Amino acid sequence: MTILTEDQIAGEIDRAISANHVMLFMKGTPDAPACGFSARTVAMLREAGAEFSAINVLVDPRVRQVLSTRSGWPTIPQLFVDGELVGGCDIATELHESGELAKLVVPEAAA
Amino acid sequence: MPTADDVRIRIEAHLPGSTAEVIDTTGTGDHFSARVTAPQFETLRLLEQHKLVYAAVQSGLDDGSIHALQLKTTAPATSTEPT
Repeated sequence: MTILTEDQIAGEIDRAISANHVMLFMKGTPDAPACGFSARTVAMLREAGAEFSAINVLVDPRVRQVLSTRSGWPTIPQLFVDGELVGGCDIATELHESGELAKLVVPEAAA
Repeated sequence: MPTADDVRIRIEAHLPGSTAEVIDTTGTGDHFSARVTAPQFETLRLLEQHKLVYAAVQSGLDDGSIHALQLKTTAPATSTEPT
């Protein structure tokens, strides 16, 4: 197994954020979330009909450190849409309840 | 292990003029939920509002003593009618 340097981790994070319309950094995986807040965010994205990519921050503690330094957001999950941080579970919840989440994450829904 | 009151005091000290209601959601001193009203939120997006509150407890989030802080933030103008 290759050990990534911190710069390589930062590069992977940047690439994931810019390459995916909806990008979720979470604890665990979408099908096996390791935290209730990550689980709820995945459930909301699925309900909203989003196609999204996910990275499990628990695979290497440096992922979370590098991510939080770059985003200025200290907790997990972190949801990015079109390269921009939307927020964590609470903001996703408010957007979901108002119906805005679907418009944000499903490009066709906004049109 | 911080108490809900410790978290409330830190938030209110960090955001002068704010009021915070904090509960310990698990009773274990590491998962909290806060409802915060602050004049500083007035012109800010939700994302920036939450960042301000997180900054108040940054050290606890960094050292792992606070695992989770659920937030509900409002600006005073949106929650009260002008008199």
